[in-house]
Amino acid sequence: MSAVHPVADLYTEHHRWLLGWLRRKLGCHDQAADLAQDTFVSILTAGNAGEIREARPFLATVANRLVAHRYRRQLLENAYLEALAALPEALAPSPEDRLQALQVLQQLDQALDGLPPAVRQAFLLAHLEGASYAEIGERLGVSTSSVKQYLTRANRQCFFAIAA
Amino acid sequence: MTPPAPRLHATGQPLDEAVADAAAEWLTRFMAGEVDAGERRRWQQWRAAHPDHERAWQHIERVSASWQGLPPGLAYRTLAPLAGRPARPGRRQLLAALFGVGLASGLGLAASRSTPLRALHADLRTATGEQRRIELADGSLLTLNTASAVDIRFDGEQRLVRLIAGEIHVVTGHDARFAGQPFVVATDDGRVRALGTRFAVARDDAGSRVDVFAHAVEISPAGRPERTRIVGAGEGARFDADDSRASALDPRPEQWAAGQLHADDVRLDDFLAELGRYRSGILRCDPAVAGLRFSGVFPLADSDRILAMLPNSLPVQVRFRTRYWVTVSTVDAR
Repeated sequence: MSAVHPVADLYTEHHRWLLGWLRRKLGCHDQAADLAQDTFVSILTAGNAGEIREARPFLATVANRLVAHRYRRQLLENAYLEALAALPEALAPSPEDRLQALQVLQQLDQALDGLPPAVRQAFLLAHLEGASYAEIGERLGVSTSSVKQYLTRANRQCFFAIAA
Repeated sequence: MTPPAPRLHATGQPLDEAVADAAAEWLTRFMAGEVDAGERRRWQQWRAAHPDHERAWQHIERVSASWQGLPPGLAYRTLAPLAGRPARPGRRQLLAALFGVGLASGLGLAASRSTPLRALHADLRTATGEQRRIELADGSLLTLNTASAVDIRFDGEQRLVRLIAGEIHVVTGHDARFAGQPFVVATDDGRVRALGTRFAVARDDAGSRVDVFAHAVEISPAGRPERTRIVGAGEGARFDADDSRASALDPRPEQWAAGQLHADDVRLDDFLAELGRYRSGILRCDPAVAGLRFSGVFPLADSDRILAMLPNSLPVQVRFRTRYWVTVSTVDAR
């Protein structure tokens, strides 16, 4: 039995390869180095490194997820800054509240992840814009009873599908 | 092999699928604004039928409260453009893990004072908009205001009520069996010992507050217990773990303990801010009518009705877009 931590083995043997792979994918050395680091941290935290059979496909899968996650955060941050700029000054959150608001929005975005666009849209219109079901139905081109089905599905996922 | 069912959770504990479905459906119905008095009773019965039902509903209120404070328009404009983006396969587990971390740190901020998790496991608590009065073993009357929580420990040495969140009104009892045992309300900031009395204790972001309506209490800050202060009838005081200071008596506890909300020549925006403590969701006041003043005494039990009655005394209109989103504005505005 090896005394070395399985992640240490992975790191020694595959870190350079992963870094090169990420650099080609992202075209940026700094981002690639960051994400390679995050990939190993993620595997370390998951604690199942000893069970990995095909090291490189596994590393690529984990790294891909992290890339997708970072990309999504970036999209959200951009949308957030645009929305902030569009707010009347009186309604804009204070600098201290901005980060917290962004965190809340990221949580919401993740909680709604994977829902069909219309279901997600119905949830956002009802909960955040206070639109009536009739208004939502008109906007999405569906009946009020469909809107209710959408909302029940979105409510269920948003509130209960992720540990909180 | 069948795929595993998605794991459902509320307040950090696993939740049955059927309960999650029922809670989600109740919320959908409430937001449609089609819940009448009979339906509301059935909803209350459902909540009372099993601790998991109540837990699921509390979870909904807590999670939705976190985004209801966002400026109107901001959340929608941020999240709507991302609607059509495809979810990548396999992301979910990682996102779930990251989501857990994000939420924990968010709660960490709030936990320093409002301690939502502790409040959830308290002996006695009220939801937003709910009030509760109970008689304790010594005959004392304890009233919990909206969104409040207490633990109660009578251990033979003292009669201890620990205020975890919100505010309480106390009328101490005089049962002879408890004669040698001081009645104490404790918060994280310190202890309030009753000296035969009627008083109220509240906890908010800035510390703790006590208001005394009969006889007196003694405050003892948690970090400097020797710095005691006696507060007499008709007086109030604020305290934190280090010190206390006198403040004007807040008359509201006697009013809410009687189930009433008093308006005495108040501005409409101040009145709505106070009323908002008894309601989930957003209650918005159009700046054009914010400065209107009025007086009245209103029953707290039905805040929807208080809002619906506003146009009788003021030139305003009240729009219920959903139960969770109410706007008070000028009559001619859309």
